[in-house]
Amino acid sequence: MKSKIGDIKEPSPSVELTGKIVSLREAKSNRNGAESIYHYGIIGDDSGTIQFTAWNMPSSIREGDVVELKNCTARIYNDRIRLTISSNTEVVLRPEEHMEVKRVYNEFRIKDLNLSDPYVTVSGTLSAVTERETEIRGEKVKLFNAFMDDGTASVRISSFGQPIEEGSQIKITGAKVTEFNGRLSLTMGQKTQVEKIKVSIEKGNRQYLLWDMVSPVGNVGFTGIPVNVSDRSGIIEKCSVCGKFAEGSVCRDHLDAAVVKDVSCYFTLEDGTGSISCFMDGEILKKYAGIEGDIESIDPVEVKQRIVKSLESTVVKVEGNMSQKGESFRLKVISIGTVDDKEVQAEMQKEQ
Amino acid sequence: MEFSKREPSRWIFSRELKDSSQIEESGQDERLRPYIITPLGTKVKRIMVCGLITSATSEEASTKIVISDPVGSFYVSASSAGFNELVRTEMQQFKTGDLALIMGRVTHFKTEDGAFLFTVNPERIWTATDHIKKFWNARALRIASRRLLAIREVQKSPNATVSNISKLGYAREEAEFAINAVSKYPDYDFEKLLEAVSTSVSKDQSGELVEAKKVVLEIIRKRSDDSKGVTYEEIVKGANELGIEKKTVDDSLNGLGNDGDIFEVSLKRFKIV
Repeated sequence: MKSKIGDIKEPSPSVELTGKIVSLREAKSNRNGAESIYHYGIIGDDSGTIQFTAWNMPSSIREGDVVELKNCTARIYNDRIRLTISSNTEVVLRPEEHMEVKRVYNEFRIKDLNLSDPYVTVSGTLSAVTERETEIRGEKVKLFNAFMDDGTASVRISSFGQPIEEGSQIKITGAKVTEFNGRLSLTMGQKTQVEKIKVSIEKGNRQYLLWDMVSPVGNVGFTGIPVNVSDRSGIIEKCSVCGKFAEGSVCRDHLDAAVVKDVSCYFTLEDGTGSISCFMDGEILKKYAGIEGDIESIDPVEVKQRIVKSLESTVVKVEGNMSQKGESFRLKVISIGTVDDKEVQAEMQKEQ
Repeated sequence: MEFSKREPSRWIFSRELKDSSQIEESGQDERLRPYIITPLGTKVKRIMVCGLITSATSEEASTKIVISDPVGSFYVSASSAGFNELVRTEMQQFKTGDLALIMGRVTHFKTEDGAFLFTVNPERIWTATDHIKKFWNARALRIASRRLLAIREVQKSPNATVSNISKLGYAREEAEFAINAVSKYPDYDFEKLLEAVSTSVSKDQSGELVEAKKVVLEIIRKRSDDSKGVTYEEIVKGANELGIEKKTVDDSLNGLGNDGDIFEVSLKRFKIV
């Protein structure tokens, strides 16, 4: 007998249903040295949604497809009911069927957003709003981009069609969590509800332990000890047009553009709970490492030595924007400073 | 999701490592180092420690140093063979009394009577400052304290899962570690470990223990008979007269023993090395 998704509350060895693939992602599993690919996501119908893991998903299935599942399993995983699609499950594509999905949007702090919960309610303040026109399925639509900050972290937000205002404080219900260029983003569509509210943002409370981070978000900070300052740190050449590295004094995207010299460094920050690769450049690095004047006139070896000396064997407090590549988190540093005795004393009081 | 493929360094106190007795293989690849599971459940391959060098010796084939934290010592060894030749050269610049920050991989050795001994193979060594040492102490204590809170939650619910412990506000990894601790060390006194660490760190941070150690060392030096040494009772009495309480005398004696400044001639009789 076919089940309605909203009625699946208990584990069951065999479930049959028809639902729409709301989200579908691919991941790699490495068990005992053997690597395999699996899929996970959300499937829904007019009664609700449920997360699934698919060990055997036909390659033709895409997000938005309606599928019929026979002989899948309902299990409790991480305290939630979840479907498992295995090699015993029959997955049949129903291209002729259309289905409305009833969605439930849980409220999240921006720091805790993650791709496993792709439809969410989030509140925060908007900044850096830009507006441009784009085309979706042949129709012209206004696209608004901004950053939303709720005091725990910030995230890039894109609104298709719905205007958003600089400085406004809003609650959005039904935004989709996506990933773009290794960073988490929120997407608002026509059905996303927007409500004006008051958000209280605590300043200076964004220092986290690395093991507390679940996703690559912006405007977060960590305190730790830098190790392994990369050999690539020092004076670099950048494209004067796009700002990207110009390897061999030539920008791959702007062959005729002039190159300018700058300083940059990579280092690993250890905080006792994890490690993160950090990147820092420009004025932030110059100021921190005490590099003054025209860098063209300073010996590159000396610049590198100053960078290494300023970072290694010291306690630093960094803030920046996280990104993710593979399984690694990275941090583009936007501010860096040392830690004073008062802050060390405060560290002693934590959790005591 | 992990922060990095690189194995992060764990910041743990020497006593947590010393009390470890559980080893977990990393996988089928025999070349991979196993994880050491500590009593607080920490999965350790690499550690970072900061403390005072209490012994530094160098022989033809290897360089060894002992680095002390507020509750004990780590044994660090670099050989002329293998990948850490460069760091061995750096280690040779350090001497007793220097503060050092060391990152390295931990190897274990099981004795015939089943006890585990641990050595740190250094990957990097830096000169440290008192400020770095205090930060390392404070952060390591914070991590251990949070771990104890998570362990208490696991002890309250026998069917605890990573998911329901992390819902209480703990990171997934620390929830996993807390479950490790309770399942692999069912009879271990977690509270006692934390109390010992917390007391010693507080004294170390305030400089109280450093001063007390100087006083206790002086008492032993002055009253030491050439052959017999000074009794524990005499040391406590002498220290009490100078306003130092018994618990601090105990911590000082442990610290001085770990530092290699004193040794126990016979039961509860101490002498300068």
